[in-house]
Amino acid sequence: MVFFILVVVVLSIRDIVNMKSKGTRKDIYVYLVIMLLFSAFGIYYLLNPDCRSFAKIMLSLAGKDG
Amino acid sequence: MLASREKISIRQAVILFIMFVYSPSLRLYPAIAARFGRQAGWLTPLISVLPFLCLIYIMQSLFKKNREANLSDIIFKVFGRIVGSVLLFLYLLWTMVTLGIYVRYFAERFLAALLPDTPLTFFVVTILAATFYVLQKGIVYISRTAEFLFTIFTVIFVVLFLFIVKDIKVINLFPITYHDFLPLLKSTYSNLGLWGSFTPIFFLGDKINDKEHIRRFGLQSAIYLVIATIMILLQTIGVYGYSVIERASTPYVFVIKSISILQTIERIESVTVVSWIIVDFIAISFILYIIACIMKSLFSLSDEKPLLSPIVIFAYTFVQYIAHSRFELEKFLKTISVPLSIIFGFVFPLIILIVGKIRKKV
Repeated sequence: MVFFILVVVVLSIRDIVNMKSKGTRKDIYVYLVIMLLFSAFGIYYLLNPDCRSFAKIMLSLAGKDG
Repeated sequence: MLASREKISIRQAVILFIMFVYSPSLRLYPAIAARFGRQAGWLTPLISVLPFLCLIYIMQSLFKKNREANLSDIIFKVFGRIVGSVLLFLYLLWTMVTLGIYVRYFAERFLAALLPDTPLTFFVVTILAATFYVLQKGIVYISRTAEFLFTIFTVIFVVLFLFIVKDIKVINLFPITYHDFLPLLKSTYSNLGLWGSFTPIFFLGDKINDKEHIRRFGLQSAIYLVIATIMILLQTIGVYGYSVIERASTPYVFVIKSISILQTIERIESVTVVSWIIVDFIAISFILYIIACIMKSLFSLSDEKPLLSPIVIFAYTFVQYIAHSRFELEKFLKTISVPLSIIFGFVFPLIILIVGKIRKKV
């Protein structure tokens, strides 16, 4: 978990510094939203690794879970 | 000579597509062709190539007046911003799930064949880190590498086929009667799911030069795929028969393991596994970059490269979340992923073309 957050922070800083040098403010906002969303998903999964898998959810939605 | 060093040729794009379908063709296709088509399963590529030819003509028509555009631009042009964004978002979800499947199968192959006691995350982190590093330079480097490796893979593939030829039993491939036609149609479904991956390469459209040659290189890829797929099926169904192949988890490796040259050189499958790893690396890089390009178009951004980091972060988690076991993953793939691939690969491009023609946008 700590390693995961560390990687997210390091990558984000690197990308934002790169984007800032190109002067694309909108890109930075969109990037931050996407990164936060995916990181939140990652943290949620790492805290609940035994939750129902994506395949299981989709199969049950399609009625093929049996 | 390419107009820009940042762009790839349509030939390179088609090679990327062939390498993208190479790995799942070996993994998935022989078992499904054997299950549905039985002894006639090796003929399925001859049927599934027909919709693929239609797809090539659809793509050529879409880009006839829009040579500098990518598929996202055409979707926006045809459907407008709102409906176009919804369709593009659906494509984004599909490609992200496809990325998860590819990376997971990459790791599963190692766990099943080589290093069973290693944690899954080790393989996931390794492949994602490697692709992330290489993609920092853009798709051009991956395309050139793929172009170079493509020849080597073709040679390896043909040589392995020649080693197997003597073991192919005609009785496993015949008789074929008109009763086999319906089972053959059924078995084309997985092949179509794979060949539908021709569509996503055009999300890189603005990075592809000479799109007036889509038909030419598309037809060449169709011929290559039909021959290669028939060779894969002859090697698998032809050697062990459909009843064995439909139960095997990795039929191709299973067959390659049986190769013995002059009864001294054995374990040739290591060559296949190595080539498989490199192909997976190119396929994962390719789909990762396509996702970044779709996101760039969807959110009207100026550059796709910074998006690679969040996608890699997502992939790391999603690969573990997608399925708890290989069995679950395979069921998901056959039941949901393949039909969706047909819809996204064949049906949506056709709808885009029809609506575009009606609205005179393409």
